[in-house]
Parts: sequence; C-alpha cells; structure tokens
Amino acid sequence: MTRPLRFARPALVALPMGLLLGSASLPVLVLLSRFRAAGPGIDTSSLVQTLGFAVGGAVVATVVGAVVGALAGTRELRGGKWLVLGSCVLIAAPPAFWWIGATRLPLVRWGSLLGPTSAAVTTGLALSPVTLLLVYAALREAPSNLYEAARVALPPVRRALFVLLPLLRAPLAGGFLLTVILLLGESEIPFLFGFRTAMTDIVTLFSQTFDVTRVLPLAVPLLVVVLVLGAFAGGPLLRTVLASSRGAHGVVRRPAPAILSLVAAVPVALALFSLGGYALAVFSGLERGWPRLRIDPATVLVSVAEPMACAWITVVLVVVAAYPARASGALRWFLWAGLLLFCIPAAIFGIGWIGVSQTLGGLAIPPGVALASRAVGLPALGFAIAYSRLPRSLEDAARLVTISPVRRAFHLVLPLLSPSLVAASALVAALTFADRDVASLLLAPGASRLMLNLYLLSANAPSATVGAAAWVALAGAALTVGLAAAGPLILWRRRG
Amino acid sequence: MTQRALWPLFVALAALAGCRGGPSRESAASPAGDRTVVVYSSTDKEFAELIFHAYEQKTGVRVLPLYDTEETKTAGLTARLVAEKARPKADVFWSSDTGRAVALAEQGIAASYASPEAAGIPPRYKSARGLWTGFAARIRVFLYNTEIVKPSEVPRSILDLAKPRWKARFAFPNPHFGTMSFHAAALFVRWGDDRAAGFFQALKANDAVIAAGNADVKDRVADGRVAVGILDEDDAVVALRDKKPVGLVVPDQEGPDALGTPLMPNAAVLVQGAPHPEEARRFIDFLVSAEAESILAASDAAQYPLHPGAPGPALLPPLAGIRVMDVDYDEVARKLPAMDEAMKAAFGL
Repeated sequence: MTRPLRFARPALVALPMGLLLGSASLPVLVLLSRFRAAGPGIDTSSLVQTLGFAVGGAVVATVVGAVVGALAGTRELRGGKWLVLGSCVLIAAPPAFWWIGATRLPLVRWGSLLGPTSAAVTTGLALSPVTLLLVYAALREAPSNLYEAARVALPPVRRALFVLLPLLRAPLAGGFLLTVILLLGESEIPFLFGFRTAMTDIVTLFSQTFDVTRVLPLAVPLLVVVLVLGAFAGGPLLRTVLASSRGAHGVVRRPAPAILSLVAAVPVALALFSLGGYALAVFSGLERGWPRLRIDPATVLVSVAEPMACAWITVVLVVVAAYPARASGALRWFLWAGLLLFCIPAAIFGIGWIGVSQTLGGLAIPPGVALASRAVGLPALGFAIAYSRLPRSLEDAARLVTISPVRRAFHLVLPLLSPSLVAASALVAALTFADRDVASLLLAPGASRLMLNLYLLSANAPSATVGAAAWVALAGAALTVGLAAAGPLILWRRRG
Repeated sequence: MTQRALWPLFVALAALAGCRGGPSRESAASPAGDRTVVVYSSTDKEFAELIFHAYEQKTGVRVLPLYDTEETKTAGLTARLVAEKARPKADVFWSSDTGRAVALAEQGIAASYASPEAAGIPPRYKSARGLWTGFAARIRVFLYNTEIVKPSEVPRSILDLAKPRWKARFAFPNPHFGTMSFHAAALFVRWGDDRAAGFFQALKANDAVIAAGNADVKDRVADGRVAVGILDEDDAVVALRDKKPVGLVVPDQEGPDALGTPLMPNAAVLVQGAPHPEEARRFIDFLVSAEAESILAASDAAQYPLHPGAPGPALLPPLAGIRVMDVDYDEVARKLPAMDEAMKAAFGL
C-alpha cells in the first residue's frame, strides 16, 4: 500500500481520484451549501428513537453475524460455503423486501410484530450477513498457529472469550457500526412497522414540500451522525479487509456436529422463509387465475441495464483514477472518503441530486447516476483489497516486459485484480437494482424499475400479483448481478 | 461466447440504460404530433394501469405515468407539481381525491377544461370553473377482523373509536396524506375546528395506531394486529378478495342525524402549461367517461361510478343506499392546512 511510485508526484497521481470523489460528493456539497439558507436551528426530535432502532438492529445483526461467521470460519459445517453464499443473498435486497415476503406466510401471528423492537429484530436478521462476511474474512486471515494453540490449551468458552473475540474485535466493531449506519438510512421498514425515524421524517417532509432547503434541519443532524459513525467504522473495516497477504494464515476448520450447521442456517432461513412467502402468494392465488402482472419489457431491460452500466462505468472510472495512485499513501485517504460517501443514506443523496438538478436549471439526473456516485467507494475498496494482496514480485516482473504502461496495466496487472473488481461491480449493481428511495425521487414520468414496481404493487395489489412481481424482480437481480460481474472479467481477463 | 461477441450486447444494454435511465425523452420539448401524454397519478398503480392500458389500446397514444408511493399519497405529487410550476412536465394530474386538486387549482396550476364526457356527472362533483372534474368515487369504511370482533360488536360510528373498548385496537392512515387527509378535513368542515381537533386528540389518547397508508391499515386488520381500521373501500375489497378474515361496515349510517361517510371522487386536472395540451384534453375525456368508470367499478379498484345509471362494484352495497357526508369539496380542500396543523399538534407527525 505504501510503495513509492517512481515516475509521478503524489499530488499528480492523486488528482484523478480526487476529481472523481469530488464529483461524487457534489450533492452533499450542494446540501451543505444550502444549509445556511435553511435558517438557524436543527431538528433532532426523532433522532433518539432513530438511534434506538438502529443500535438495537445492529446488536441483533452483530450477534447473529458473529456467531454464524465464527462457526463458518472455524468449523467444517455441512454445506458451509452454501450457507455463507445463501446468507449473502439477503444483502442483495433491502430488509423491507424480505419482510414483505415473510408476511405472506400465514404461519406467524404478525400481530405481535409492531414498533421499533420488532423492526430491529427483523432488520438485524436481514443485515446480519454484513458482520458475518467481515468475521468470515477475518478468520481466513487469522494466524492459524495461535488458534490451533488455543484449541489445544483452552476449553471452547474460554477460547471464544479470550482468543476468538480479541481476534475479531475489528470486524465486529466495523460490522456493528456499518449496520448502525445502514439502519439510520432505512425508511421503508419504519413505515411498515409504524413508527417514525429521522429518515421517515425527511422523506415525508420532502414529499410534502419538494423543497430541498426545508429538509436540511432534519437531514443535517442525521448526516453528521452517519459521517461521525463512518469515521469510527473506517479504521476497523479497513483493518479487516486490507489484511496482509494470506500465505499460511487462516484458521484450520474442524468438523462440526449437524446442530451447528442448523444454527448457522438462521440467515438463510430468513431468505427461504421470505421467498417461500412470495411463492405461496403466487400459488394460493392461482385459483383466481394466473396473477395479472403487467410487465413492460422496456422496464425489465432498463432495470437490468441501468445498474449494470452504472457498475461497469463506476468500476472503470475508479480503476482509471486509482491505478496511478495505487502505490501512494493517498489511496487510503480516498478509501476513507469513499466509505464516508457510502455511509450517507441513499434518499439524502437523491435529495442532494435534486438540489444539483435545480441549481443546473432542471437538468435531469438519472437515478443510476445518484446511486453510482454514492457507491463509488466500493470499487475503490475492491481495487485496494486486490492490490494489497498482489505480491510485489509479480508487478516488478510485469515492469520488465517491454510494453507501454497502459498495455502493462490492462494486460498484466489488472487481470490479477479482477476477482475483487468483479465482486465490487456485482455489489454496486445489486445496490442500484435494489434501490427504491432514489428511484421514487428521480424517475421521470413513464420510466419505471422492477423493485419500485414491487413496492408500488405491494400497497394494494392482490398477494399473488405481489408474489409474482417479487419473483420477477429477483430474476432481474440475478441477471443484473451476473452481467455486472461479467464486465470486469471480460475487460481484464487474463490473456495468453 | 468470445469477448468480441459479447461486447455489442453489453454496449447495447448500456446505451439503453443511458436512453431510458433519465427523463430526457419525456421532458424534452415535444415535437408536433408527439403521441404521448404525461399523467401524474396518485391512484394505485395496479388500478391506474387498467385505464392507461385501455386508453393506449383505444387511441395508440402512449401514456407516461408517474406514481406516488403509498406513504406520501397525493401530497407527494401535488408538491412536485407546485415545484414544477415554472416548467411543467405533467399534462394531467389524476388525483385520488378532490382536496389536492382544489388546492392545485387555487395555486394556478390547473387549467380550465370542461370535458363533454363529464356532462352526466352531477355538478357538485365538478369545479364550476372547469379546473377539476370528479369521477369514479370511493367511500370510507370500517374493516374489522372477524376472528377478533363479532359483527354485532363492530363500531358503527367513527365516534365509537374514542371509547375505551377500542383503546389501542384500531388504526387509520397517516392523516397528512391521501384520502385520510380528505376524511379528516371533511370532519373539520362538518364539526368546526375545535370539535374536530378535540375528536382526534381523543383518538390519540385512546392509543390510535397510525398506519403508513390505507393498504397498511388493511394488512394490519387482516393480520390481526388491530381489530378495526378506517380505510377506503377499494383496499377493503382487496382483503375480501384475498379471503382474509375480515368484514366491512359503512360507518355513520344509523339515525336521522347520522353523519354519513365521505364520498371521495377521483379528480382529473389539466395542468396549466401542459407540454401536450391536446393529448391531455383527449385523455381527460376518456378518464371521466362512463367507460373508464365502468372499468374501475368492475376491477379490484371497486369504485362507484358518478355517471347516473352505471353499474357499481359487485362486492359493495349500492351507492343509492349509502348516506354520504354532505360537504363542499372546495371547502374541504381549504381546510387541509388547518387540519394538517391540528394533526401535528395531536399526533406529533
């Protein structure tokens, strides 16, 4: 990460990334510049309840994610890889999607599930894969000798308390804070569970007034909170994902009894529960005929193509901007800046882009642009993770090949980084596809998206139609992620 | 598949995203003969699409709709129309209640158009200056969970909900939005500000559950989270057709002085400075016609036609047998700001 470049000054190599992040920050800068015009005073009336919901949900997510991640990382579970992969599916759609599906099942008395506590448990389960993945990744980087010695010397409880927990301090802290941040930006779940948060107040007030300036007394305190939390989360997150080269590291996984596989299946069970709810809704409605779901082919195409294009463009721009700065200390600062941008709730980003649009005389801003600008830190993180693991000898060997620096980058270096870039591209595409907040703010008349359609239909359409819409949206999400992942693979595939 | 073979596909998809991602094609100045009409609709997408599809089939004109989310019903699009006043993007506003249509008319956002297709609709459901036209109405009803409440115990009046028997057992939608805002404002008109505000404070003291929207009320009653809910009859019909354990009662029908239930027509508004004014007028002609009302009555939207003699929704009692709250629609619309303030004071929303 800190290898000095030979040919360029640090300020020069940092310029492209600085410009990229500066452009992505434009909506936030516009919001802050208008804060003076909003007049004195801030409104923090719903912030305490918001924090209570977010912290409660994050506690649930961290406990569940830590247990499942630790089990998957230290024990040989039955279908362990599938359990981890299946848990990741939960991140591909917002918590409200999984909740709406689950409520289609008549197995549970939903009457007892209302208010912030129930919402915290539900969203905690849905977001548990965030901590799970961080814990899992950390255990694959943990010193194996240390953990093997603990296995010999200590009983399981003491081993967990005095060895595992200290080892996992960074991913647990990072996962907890990141989940708090994600929940602070959540508006759909509070609406569904019938309580107000700062985010529901912002969405409601903006809808009532369509006035960017008037939401600032509500938005700015929330913005400050997420940015402060993001600053605290950055350290542990970067320590976890930018760990040194694996080599012989990683906890050796030992066989586990079947009961532990069942425990680790809790997040997957939520996904299956919800998908089962949507499927049941479709089948139970068949007696009234096949669900009347109008699917405009253009909507399907754009719903898939827009996130895919955004993911590719974001990844390519980040690679072009970050590559010159790859060996500079500036890259770490850019990662921080990118992480902070990602911490800002999508709806606030959308409102900020409306502010930009108004400043530019009503220029149309596609939702994909707003979402990609928020997610620009993810490909930067993917690039940094991959580059931190690239043995220096390989890059030195590449320098000996007598081709231009650009061809060297595209043909020799970037193909070695492509797995991380593929993951980043897929994540950006999944987040863009799953968005509902920004689309509802920025979409033009006549334009539509599959995920927004699902929410609009879930208001009043028969359950069978909602179930069918959910399955169409899922199929679209799978196609989107697949196509988004294919971009970096094709662009930077290994040749020769 | 080789890399070369894949690139055209990806480039085509990316180009498509660029073309359709934003509003450029819709918001650009339309050339003569552009066969599109931009409709902002606060009616549920599921139901509005029936009309848009029928109109497209009939005329070949493409409808470009924009919808409200359930949580910000009507108020969201109204605010958007106000924000776009200098550069309108919409041709027609299809409001799910008359209150917001009147508010738009008073802010100079509605243009005058008296559709010949609305000649049969009674004058009380239309603006005298042609600034909005009512059609296809809904009523407010009680939906109750039949596993929790016996038919004989169902509240018969909204006043019953302030009684201890229903404490924390009933729900209604956020009164700042949609038809609940109309319902609340209508009570302010009928009772006066003090009595109406006092009534809502009594509901608050009786632990009223405020739901995100009518559909949310329906779900809460159907799932048994609350025993009774106030909502529109089309949402109630969805629960009935989904065979949920629910029953429907029209409130405030008993006694000679019964208040009656609000009748809330949809409203069609021609937007002042609409980019496609001719297409907008033709669309409004269709929207307020008996044909469109019949489509809405026969569908799950279950809305009452205002054209005399047109058949009503199958699952509901005939409109002729329902006592309707007697209110002036313009007056209700003018009460919305005072009602909003009172709701903020009562519920802190």
